[in-house]
Amino acid sequence: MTSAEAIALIEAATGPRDVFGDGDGTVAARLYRRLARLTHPDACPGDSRAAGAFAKLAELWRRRPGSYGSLLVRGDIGNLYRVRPGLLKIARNPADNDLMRREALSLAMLRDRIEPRLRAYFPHLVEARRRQDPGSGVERLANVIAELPGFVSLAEVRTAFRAGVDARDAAWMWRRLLVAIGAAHRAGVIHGAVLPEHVLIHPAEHGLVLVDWCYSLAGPAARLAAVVGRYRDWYPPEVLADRCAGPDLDIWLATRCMTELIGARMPERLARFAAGCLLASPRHRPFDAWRLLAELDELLDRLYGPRVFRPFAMPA
Amino acid sequence: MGSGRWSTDVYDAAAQFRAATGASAFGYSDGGASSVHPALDPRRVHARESRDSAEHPQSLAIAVLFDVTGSMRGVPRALQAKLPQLLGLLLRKGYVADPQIMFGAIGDATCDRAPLQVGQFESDNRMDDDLSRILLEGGGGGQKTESYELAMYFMARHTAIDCFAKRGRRGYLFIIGDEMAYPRVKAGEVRKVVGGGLQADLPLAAIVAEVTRTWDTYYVLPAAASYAGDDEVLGFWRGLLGQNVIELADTDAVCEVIALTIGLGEGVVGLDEGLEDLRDVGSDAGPAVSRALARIGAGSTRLELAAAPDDLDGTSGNIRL
Repeated sequence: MTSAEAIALIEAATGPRDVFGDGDGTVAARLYRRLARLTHPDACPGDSRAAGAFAKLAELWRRRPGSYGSLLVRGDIGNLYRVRPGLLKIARNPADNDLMRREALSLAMLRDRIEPRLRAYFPHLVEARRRQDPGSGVERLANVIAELPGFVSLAEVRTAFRAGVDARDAAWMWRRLLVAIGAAHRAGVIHGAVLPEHVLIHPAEHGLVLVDWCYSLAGPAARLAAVVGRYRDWYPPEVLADRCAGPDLDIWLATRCMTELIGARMPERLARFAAGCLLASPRHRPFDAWRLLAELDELLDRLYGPRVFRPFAMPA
Repeated sequence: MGSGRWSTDVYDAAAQFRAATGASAFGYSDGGASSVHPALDPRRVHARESRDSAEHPQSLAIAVLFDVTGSMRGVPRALQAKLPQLLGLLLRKGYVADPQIMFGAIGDATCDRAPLQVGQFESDNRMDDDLSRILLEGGGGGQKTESYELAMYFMARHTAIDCFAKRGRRGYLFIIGDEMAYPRVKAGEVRKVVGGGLQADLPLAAIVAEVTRTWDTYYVLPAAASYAGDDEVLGFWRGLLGQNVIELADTDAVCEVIALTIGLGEGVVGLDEGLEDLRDVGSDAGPAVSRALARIGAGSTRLELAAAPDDLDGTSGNIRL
């Protein structure tokens, strides 16, 4: 395309669609940059038609329908918008782009390494995206995650049951949380932020999905990049000091989630089990979630007898 | 640093002058120098800065560091002759509006006089001065390892780049070499070469995680170097950087490879389109570039332009450790 052709195209356009088409944002963005280059005052010095086309192009670009949906959730570091293929989770602060990249990498690792029957415990990454604000040039990384209809977070459950959740109901959540954590660890990924907002359950189906992998770590020498500010005092002290986090971190935080969820309704025997997961020395803490699950099952069997399905529902 | 008018023709004149007087473009090294030029000495550098300016409102930091040890054979000299073309190529292609380029060199901190040399981020022909000051080490250890980890440490902790700080956009770091890094950043070497207070050794994986937060980092292995095509070296870097490992079949194509990698990363060019561009200008770099970049193009994340809504207000609820 020549500058003259670009100018003619822009001049003839009656709306953004005439220039950028209906295609996806990438094609439109590429077209925008190309046309801007061809009509830029530096490329056509002294050409008033080019200058007019350049200004009109910017205006057409501004009028292009926004590709953000409505804000659904405001998370710790990202906002979630509903878009066509799922939920667009995007960093509010571009300094957190590395955490979004981390999430995409970890979700891809989990998808590749976890056996199919356990994949339901993890969110499905539809695609990773990069978005740039044309005005400021700010670039934000985003992940499109498949929506999880019917799920609620442990934080919401805790709020709904002010006196705490019956330990017999919390039991299936605890068990499933350990299944998810153990599966991730076997795939080489530590979640790093097992907190009430990141554990989603499906009340009727007794489903559980561990979400938000932005804080995750992969590999033996990896270090925790950040912690969730509101939960700073939930983390074991040595993690805040030296950033080194092992599998015991996920188990520690999962235990905190469950003791918080059950609250004052925690049976004495289960409280001692939890205390045994929250020991001061990392070397004394459990690190294998699936072995811990076997211990928990033994205890639940002793406390409540053989497992039976207990329907669970959020209060209306 | 980093401001100035763009031109790439001054280098050509300088090279012609040097050719006429018989001096190679590595003027400093060939002049009998045996230690790092003061302008490239990383010692006590707080930070090499790539800043926005009125002239360059959306600066993008690009760093090219190459191994100058003996195993690289004639590659460093070839790079030195080719790399001045990078700025012009990026501008001409429209891949980057405001590039700021830094050149540097990597040696072996266990035995070399010049384990690390780093220039300034420049947007004009001053970057060529840095190139010509690079001391060609020619030494290196015999263990198929050089001090790449020290270079990554410097890039992670001693650079300050507005593209990342202001816009969340990573700079591009290209490490051109043919060997592996040492397994740890050694506190003693940091003290000696860079200065500053690294208290304890850092595992390689930790410094890679750190540098890739601010730098989109690529390893380029030229076919003309001793360990070209070496599975151990390639596997080592793929383990650290994933798909960002490029086998450069033709050293002459180094600028085209770097430019197209950046173009792909910036989302301003598709692989097919970029290769076509190269053919249009009669570049013989096409096949080498396409082999090296096919994987990167396939794995890159697409860039969308969309005005950010007000609720993307920059607040973050995390605490960095």
